[in-house]
Amino acid sequence: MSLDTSSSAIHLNLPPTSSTQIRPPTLITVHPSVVASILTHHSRKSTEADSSNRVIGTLMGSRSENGQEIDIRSSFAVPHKEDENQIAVDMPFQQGMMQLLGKTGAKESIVGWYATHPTLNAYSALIQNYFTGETSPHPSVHLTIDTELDPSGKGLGIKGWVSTQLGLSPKPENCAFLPVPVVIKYADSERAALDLLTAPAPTPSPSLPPLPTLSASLTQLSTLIDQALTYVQSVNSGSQNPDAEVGRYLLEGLGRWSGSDNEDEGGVKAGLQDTLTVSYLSNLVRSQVELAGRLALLQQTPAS
Amino acid sequence: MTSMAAALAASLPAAITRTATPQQSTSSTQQSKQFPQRLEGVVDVEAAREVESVSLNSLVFLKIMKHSTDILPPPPANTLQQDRNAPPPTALSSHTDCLGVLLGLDLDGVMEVEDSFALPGGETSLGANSYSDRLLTHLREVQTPDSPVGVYLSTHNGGFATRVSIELLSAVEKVSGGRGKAVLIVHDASKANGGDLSVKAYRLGEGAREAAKLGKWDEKTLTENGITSSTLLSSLPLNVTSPALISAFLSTLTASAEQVQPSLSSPSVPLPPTFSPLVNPTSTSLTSYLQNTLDSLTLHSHEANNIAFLTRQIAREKVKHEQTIKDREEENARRRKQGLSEFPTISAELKNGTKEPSRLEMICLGGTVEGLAKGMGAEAGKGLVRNYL
Repeated sequence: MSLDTSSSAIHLNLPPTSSTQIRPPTLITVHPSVVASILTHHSRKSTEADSSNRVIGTLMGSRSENGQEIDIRSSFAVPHKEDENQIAVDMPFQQGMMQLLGKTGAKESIVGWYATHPTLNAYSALIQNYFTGETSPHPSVHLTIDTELDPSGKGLGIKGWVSTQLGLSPKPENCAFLPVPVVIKYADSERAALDLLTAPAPTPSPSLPPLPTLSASLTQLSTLIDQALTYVQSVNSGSQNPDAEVGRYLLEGLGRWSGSDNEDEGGVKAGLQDTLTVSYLSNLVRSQVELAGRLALLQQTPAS
Repeated sequence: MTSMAAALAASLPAAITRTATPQQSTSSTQQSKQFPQRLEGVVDVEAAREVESVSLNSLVFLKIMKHSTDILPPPPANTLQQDRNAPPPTALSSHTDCLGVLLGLDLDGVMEVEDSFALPGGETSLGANSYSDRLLTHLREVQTPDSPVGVYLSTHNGGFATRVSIELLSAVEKVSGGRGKAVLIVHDASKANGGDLSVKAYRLGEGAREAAKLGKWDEKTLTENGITSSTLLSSLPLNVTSPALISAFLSTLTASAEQVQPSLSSPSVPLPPTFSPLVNPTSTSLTSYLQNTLDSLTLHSHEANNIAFLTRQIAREKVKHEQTIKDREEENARRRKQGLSEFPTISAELKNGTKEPSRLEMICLGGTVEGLAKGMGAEAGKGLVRNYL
């Protein structure tokens, strides 16, 4: 489920390069709101002639115990200016934002920075050096998003990098960026929200009651059953080559299903009683609350 | 069957509607130079149009979701209602509510929400030098829209507003000029665990707007404006929009990038299609709903006890004060007879008495009970449907 195009690279778990037990990260998980936030910052940048073609900002999140997995939960943009001769990043801005964001109570810390252009040049190395200073002793992570929608990158190439020192003497503007796989991570309770956003246009309103989602899921299931049925029929009639793996999956699924409809009879009756009781109770409570509200209004009116 | 509660709510006499005064056209032509041509008819300078619907950016949508899954510390003590006893700890109140401010602009009757940020627990004002003011100065430097238009709330209490969120909403109204355009977006996190999405947009009802302006929620303002838990907020239609880059990103989540042979073991796309489970879960989920409703009733009765105690306290002090006034009068009458100088009369006003309690918490808790009961009914309905499958 990598966000980038699948590559044939194998990511090795390198031993620590120094005597301390800190290993470079091997996996970066990103919350979808971070990507949306980065893209929005990019679309808001000013279009003056002297501004560069990318925006940069800070990534915040948490690390796993041994530093191998980095979870990026939020981000914010940092103003910067870049041209051929120099680069300037607004550091007091970043420190101010970190201080403010630390008050919200979520346990997040700086894990790296992002840029909205896929190039990695000497300036990237300088900024990476600065951020490594901020996140020390852990290495800092760099995320690039290809907003030019370059056809060779096949869409938004979201790539993650860590840096290592290069050359005989460590200089801040020399480093090698090593790629790290990037994966989207979301909680189960956000699943329905993501489904809503990725549904075919027009996006349905998020304030619908739950029954339409249930009916949509039922229609989806019935189309899938139809598909499976046509496949099985075509295999039986010989018009399609059977695939052993598909057959095994279907068998397993059917086996799980047929064993469970013995206790349904009793289950329906008991469940029905309970749900009807609860439904009546909820209506009763709601009427009670409404009456209580109206009675509170009455107490103050003078007796007529 | 129509619910009795809805019938009761509909029978409440409507509050007096304010008539809109006709707008001057001269001032709008003076200001039209400041707005680009295409926005002229659309930017609402004199607040002539009420907000009719809300359009959320998908960025804000995702940020609200992310905030709701953050693990947050419990709120600091200064946010609890100032009363005799703290409310008893319940399972319901152990989930911290997530609050934040919405930024955007309203154009042509549609409130477009472009960005948002989270607020730390314990913030109740948006004035100068507050957390939100300082954060906004930073955000302004990166060209974020900087006018707060509303508040978002992600809560486990059944999809109703809490007292803190209503106070924040009135603060936003004050900041944005008090024209009744602040929007409240409520995300019901308790339903999200069951796989349903519930995000609704509201605005303060008309009577509630008056009370919010005064900042007082005691009995007199309630009865004058006819505020109950169902008239506190009026709902607005809500939809979600995505700008181009973000919709490109979203489509990469569901479409596979290249023509690989789909394998049955690992999904080929980051977001495989989901199926809601058809097993009847009501045996477990109904008990949690019942538990939540009971908890909210506990909180409600606790708050009612507090208010009753405070009312009795006020009555007692009033009686005592009248007694002292009477004594003073008699004293003065006696001294008049004796020809001595009189004591000054005590004013009938009670200084330093107990203040009238604010009823906002009661209203919000009442709404909470109703919201949870509604959720219970919805869950029961779903269970009925599943039973017949």
